[in-house]
Amino acid sequence: MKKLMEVKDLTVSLSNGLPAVKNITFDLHENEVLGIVGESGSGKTLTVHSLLGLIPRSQAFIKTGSILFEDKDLSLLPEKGMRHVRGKEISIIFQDPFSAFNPTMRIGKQIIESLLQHTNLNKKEAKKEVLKTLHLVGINDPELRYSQYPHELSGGLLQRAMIALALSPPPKILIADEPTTALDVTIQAQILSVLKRLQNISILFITHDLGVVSQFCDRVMVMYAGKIVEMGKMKTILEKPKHPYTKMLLKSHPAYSKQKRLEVIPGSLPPLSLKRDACAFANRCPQAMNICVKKEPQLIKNSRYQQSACFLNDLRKKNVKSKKPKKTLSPL
Amino acid sequence: MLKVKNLKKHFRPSKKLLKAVDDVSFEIKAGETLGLVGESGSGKSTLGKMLLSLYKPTSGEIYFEDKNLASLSRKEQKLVQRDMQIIFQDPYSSLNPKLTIEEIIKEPLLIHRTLPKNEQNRRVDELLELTKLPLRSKQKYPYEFSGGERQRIGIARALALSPKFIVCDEPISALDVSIQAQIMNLLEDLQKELGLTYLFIAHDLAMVRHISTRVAVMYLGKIVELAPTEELFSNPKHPYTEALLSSYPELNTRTKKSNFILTGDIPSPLSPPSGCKFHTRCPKALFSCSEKEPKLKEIKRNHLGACHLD
Amino acid sequence: MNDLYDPLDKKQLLDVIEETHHKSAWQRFVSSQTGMIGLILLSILLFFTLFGPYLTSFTHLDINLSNINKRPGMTHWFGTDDLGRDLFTRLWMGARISLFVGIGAAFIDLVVGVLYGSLSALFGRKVDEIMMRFSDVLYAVPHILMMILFITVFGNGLFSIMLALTLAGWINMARIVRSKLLEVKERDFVQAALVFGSSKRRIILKHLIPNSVGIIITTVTYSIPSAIFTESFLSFLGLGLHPPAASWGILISEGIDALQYYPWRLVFPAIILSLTIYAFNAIGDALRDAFDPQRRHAL
Repeated sequence: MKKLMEVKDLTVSLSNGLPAVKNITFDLHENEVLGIVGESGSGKTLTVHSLLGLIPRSQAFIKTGSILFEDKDLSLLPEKGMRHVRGKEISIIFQDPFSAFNPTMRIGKQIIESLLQHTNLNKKEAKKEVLKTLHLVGINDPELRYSQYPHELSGGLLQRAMIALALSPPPKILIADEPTTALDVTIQAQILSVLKRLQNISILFITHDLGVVSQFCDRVMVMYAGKIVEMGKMKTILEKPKHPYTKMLLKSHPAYSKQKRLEVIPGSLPPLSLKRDACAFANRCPQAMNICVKKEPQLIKNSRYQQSACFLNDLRKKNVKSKKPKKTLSPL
Repeated sequence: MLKVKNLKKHFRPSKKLLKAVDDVSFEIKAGETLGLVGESGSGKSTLGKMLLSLYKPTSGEIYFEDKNLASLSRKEQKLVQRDMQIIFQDPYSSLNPKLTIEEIIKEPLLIHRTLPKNEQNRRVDELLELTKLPLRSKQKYPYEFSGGERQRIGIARALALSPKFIVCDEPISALDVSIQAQIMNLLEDLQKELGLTYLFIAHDLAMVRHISTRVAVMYLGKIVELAPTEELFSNPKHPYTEALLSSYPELNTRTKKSNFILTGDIPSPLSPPSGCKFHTRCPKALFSCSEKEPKLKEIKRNHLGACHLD
Repeated sequence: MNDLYDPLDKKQLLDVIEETHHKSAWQRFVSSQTGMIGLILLSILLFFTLFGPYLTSFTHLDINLSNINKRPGMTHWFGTDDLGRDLFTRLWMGARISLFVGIGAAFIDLVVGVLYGSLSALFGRKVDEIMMRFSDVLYAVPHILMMILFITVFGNGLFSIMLALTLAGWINMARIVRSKLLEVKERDFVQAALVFGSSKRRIILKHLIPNSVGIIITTVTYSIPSAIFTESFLSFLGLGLHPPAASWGILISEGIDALQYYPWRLVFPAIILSLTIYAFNAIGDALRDAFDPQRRHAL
């Protein structure tokens, strides 16, 4: 499949110099849905917002790396250039639909504005397109909704309107930043079915919800503490996770664990300032080894459809089983 | 242990009528965990709070251990307060930021004065151990703790008076996925160790399934289905339950696979549909569904449903 | 190197990670640049307010007609006015009056506002409705007009002016206190206290008040400069204190008349007034940020 976007070694630092997101490398192909899964502090939002240059320089900036899209490196593009990409070639939808719309303007007007700005259509043609898109996203009475204000629509409807906005004009890539997190489950299902129906588009889907990712994504990228820890085909990751974090995440959720007792990931995320040349998951990993606090694991290929960043891979290569942790003896 | 009969809670925000809880009846047996699921407007949170007298019922009765809560004297009320407690959803607002952890956990003990002063400190230590919190947390303030730890403090506080029944109002919704399992396990362990009875209110069906013995599904103030957990998940009878389960394909449980995606939005509880409140979104709705409201009745043994089609 | 792949002894790791990166309110205030600048500035101003007049050999009333309108120099650091009075001394005597009146008025606002707002919030519903509508009506009356009427009736003594300044200010405090109390009332930990059977009195003392103190302090810190400015404004218009008293407003008023030839007579009081107002506002801003509970994980 053709590659639409190639992100190479992206590192985003906060204003105080600390790298919040490190060495992110992944590709997005045509017509695929890539899920980005991570909890708070994983850096998934920061990564994705950096792709579109949405982070103010006072908060964070791209330190190194490149974002190749259509022969351009987005990381080097000035704001003027970004504006041609945003909303036209790459669109984004957020968790809160209310923040996407101007509360004092009618929905239709806002969507048509985007179309008129990025295409050559005249007003009449544009309106037709907008109504078509509103219908596409499952809004049953597009004429009515076109002339309504944002506050007149419910959360689910407004979320759909936001998708319609992001699709006008149809982008090559749609970034969905936790679009269903704030919605009720039955409405969430509706929105996901709308997204599933979209054609000729690649979607970057960010979420913390494993269930949603498994329903919807072709490939998935698991992030932890600013790094990619595992990446690969959805089914492969679900059935044969290689990274301890992914494994434990699956085991701690009753939908994926057959056991009576949920497996717990002890401890919590280490603070940003503490990160050095070590695996950020080491303090919580039941299989941690000495090397895990001495070097940082790199993302390597486990198989055709899977990559993971873990020193256990080295053992696999050598076909050695990891030793069980010794009981700590008190010094005599 | 707990019996609820025809419970109703109506609000009147700016003169309109909001039937948050509309004629709900059920029982909770001692030692069991009743899961309560529903989306926005279902009334599940309001119901939970009514059991603890945070809201006064508009009508209907609540019986705790065969005593009608409404008819208790002040003294008896105080006794019942010890037996029924709550754990809240938001770990960031469930603890008073100006008090130390010790003061927070001690508060119920101070109000009820069941233990002499020297015993109170021991009890606090006991509770911290039960909830796997380090003893040196006592002098710290809530802002020094993470969401998961705060939730444990909330649980420790709820256990202070050795209650028999705890309403868990979405105790894990605000936590990260990897922390949710910690709290779920803690709740299960405590139930076994202390013989607790839970009303587990949540919207994550997978978690509800994991911890509940029976599950009740609510929609716009009414219970539409109530059954033992596995029975509900493998043989849902109400179309709404089926739709909810369809949203979690990873649960993969049902014997017949009907995949529903509902149309339309959840109606506002301020203007609920006529007849069966679900009929506007129900793929199986008949005309009669818009006229008459179905009653919750026994369809199979122990399996209750409120649908005209059963 | 075989032992690289040996299991990790996690004990040392766990201890290091224990550090918390949360700060208390005071720590947040101290780490705010603006706040500290404001605090330092205010301390300097207070120092001069208290000790300034003693640093010179003049009093603020000493008239010396042979020394009128002298430029700032070695004997008169801020120059003199048209009656030969030392402006440095007059400025800091004026500071005492302005600060006294300003802080006094803010304090009365505080007491009345907190009482009114608390009663309104805690009694709720009907009482709250009535009290709030009453204060709304009062708030609609033009404040300056009210103050002028008050002063006309009660004269322009120090306390009369202080009271005049509070006429509209307390309403703002009352609204803020009421809104904060209503918000805190709904928080889960108050609900939890109710579930435990806590008495209303206990909830108010242990839960509601401690969590409202933050915003009350912040609001007071903002009302002070507001009151000081209003007093200066009134005096400037000739409605406040009268000469030979020396509030900043009077000095500024006298200074404006002489702006063309003796600009220092306006410049010094104006600068000191501005710095004082800035200092209080800066502290207020830092306090507001320090008390702000928006401390959740981002990213």
